[in-house]
Amino acid sequence: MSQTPLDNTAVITTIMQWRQKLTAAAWLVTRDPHAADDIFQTVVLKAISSGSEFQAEAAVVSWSFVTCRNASIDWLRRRKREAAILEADTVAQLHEEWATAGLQQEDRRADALEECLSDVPEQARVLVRLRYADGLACGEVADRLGITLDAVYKRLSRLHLTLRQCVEGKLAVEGSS
Amino acid sequence: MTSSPPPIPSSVLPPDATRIEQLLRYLDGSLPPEEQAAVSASLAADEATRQLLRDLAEQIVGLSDLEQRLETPAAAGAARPSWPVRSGRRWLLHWRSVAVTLLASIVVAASGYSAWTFGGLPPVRVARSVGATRLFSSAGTTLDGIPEGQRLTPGDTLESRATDAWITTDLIGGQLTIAGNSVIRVLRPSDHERRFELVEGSLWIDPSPNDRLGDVVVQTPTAIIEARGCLFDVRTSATDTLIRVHRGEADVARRVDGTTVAVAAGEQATLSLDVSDAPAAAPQPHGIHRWSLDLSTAKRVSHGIVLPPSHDAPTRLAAIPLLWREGVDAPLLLYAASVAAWRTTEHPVVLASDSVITFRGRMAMRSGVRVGLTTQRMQGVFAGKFEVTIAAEGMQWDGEEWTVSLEMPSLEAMNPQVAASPAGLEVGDIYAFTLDPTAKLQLTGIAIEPQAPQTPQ
Repeated sequence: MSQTPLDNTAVITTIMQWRQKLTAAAWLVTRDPHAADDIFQTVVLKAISSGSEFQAEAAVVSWSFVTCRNASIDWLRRRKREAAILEADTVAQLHEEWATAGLQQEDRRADALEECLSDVPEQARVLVRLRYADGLACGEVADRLGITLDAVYKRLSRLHLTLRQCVEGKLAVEGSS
Repeated sequence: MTSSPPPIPSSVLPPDATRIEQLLRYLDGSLPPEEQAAVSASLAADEATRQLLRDLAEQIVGLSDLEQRLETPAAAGAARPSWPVRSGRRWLLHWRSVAVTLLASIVVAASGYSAWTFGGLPPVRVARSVGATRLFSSAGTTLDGIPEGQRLTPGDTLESRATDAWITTDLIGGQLTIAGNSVIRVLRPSDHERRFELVEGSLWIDPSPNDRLGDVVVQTPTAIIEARGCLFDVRTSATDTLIRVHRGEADVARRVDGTTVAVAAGEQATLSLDVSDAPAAAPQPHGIHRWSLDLSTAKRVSHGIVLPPSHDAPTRLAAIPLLWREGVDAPLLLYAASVAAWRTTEHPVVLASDSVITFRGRMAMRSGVRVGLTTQRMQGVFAGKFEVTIAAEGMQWDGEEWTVSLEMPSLEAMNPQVAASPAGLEVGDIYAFTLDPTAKLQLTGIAIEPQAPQTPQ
């Protein structure tokens, strides 16, 4: 029995729900948050304009990750960046696992991250801004802050862990209530 | 600048912090080669490591997103460190634009224009939205029918989904208008430079006379346009871009090879994927008052399906469904056929006060039709749309074939009215549609010509 293809709105809605994960998938290849944003938008626009038909949301998700991966690799090639750090097979594996893991409290997760970030000291916020919003390399961040490269990595890793535990804690509390 | 200690002491951290640090260093390629290889092997073999990397990547893009979103222009100036920041996204940075940016900053600061702070630009807002429009927001929501006043942020995508739709955004110091069947993305601004990507369709940039607009960059699939205080319009497809400058001057780069060309007022340039010739600016061709649509040679149509000739019918453009929505009203399903006049000739097709537009077509059932066109001012900006409904009895019929001839006064300026009459304006898209699915509306020809002189009695 043939299924009715999803309409454009359903396709776009599905992709939008996966925005964070698709952008993260693009970031893993490009390691540039702005490029990752653009690549996500490219995926959305391709979904609108490619004329592809999808029978189910899972097909949309799978197509989106493949398109995202190809667009990310193209982005690297166009900019003649150094070879990707991650091996192609690992990238494919990561993207496949993303696509099959499903969504878990995605809307709430973004809010929780915002709440947790508001609790960290201003110095840690500066670190986040320099590294992830302004795109400075860790060495440049070290120069700006007048600290060692090692200190930048250690502070960043502690901050990531703090935020991870904070977010998971908030989601667990809400999930149980 | 110095920094206080991080929030968590190392002694209470679980081993995960070390793994995260290792992954961060790995992604930067800063581990010793043997350790880099070990992490690669671990990622290939260990699902838990991949899970940690996926979580880390999601958190990083979430943090980047949050920092961009939470940083308002006012807050940016106060809280941001004063060192220069690498944007990494400015394609055509050169001494001239740097000088212009600095000069703009000084002029703006001296004029006391407080909304334009050094750390960011005022938000882009939708001033008008007409017809079937849609916003795909960077926050992950979809909005049909974009409301006036809607604030736009980097990453938002706006789509005008029908020929007769358009969107005007207020840039503070000017306006950006998006014509029908167009898709545009708001890109992250760089310093005092507004940046947009026109994915397909047409846009007009119209700076106000006092020129507070600053630098504007428009990317298309084939070109990057940098302009300041420049009135221009851009039409693009996936393979070529036409830019016409009406005031000021724009620098245009061909994306495929970076070749640049300066386009001055009264000139135009076409940039395509073909790199056999250097891009060149040329005077804009003069307008023509006679035009006819030849469907057999038309490269592209805006909306509809071109049907090949058959034993009893010529080549024709069949109307196809279009979901049309305006404001909060329930959407209507239209059957529309539309042609972009500008894609059929290099000359602007200009209507005169004595112009007559003749539509020819076929219908399976005799039914009324609504016809119309979008316009732009010569050497200027979008000038609105004009339409009229013709009842079946007001059309000339020969079997299934119909003909309608319209003089300029019969065309009504649609709300919001931008121009009173189409006379003197350039034709953009020209279209016909019906609500009746049984009519099977088709267009076989459209012609614009001066009214025939009346024979003396």
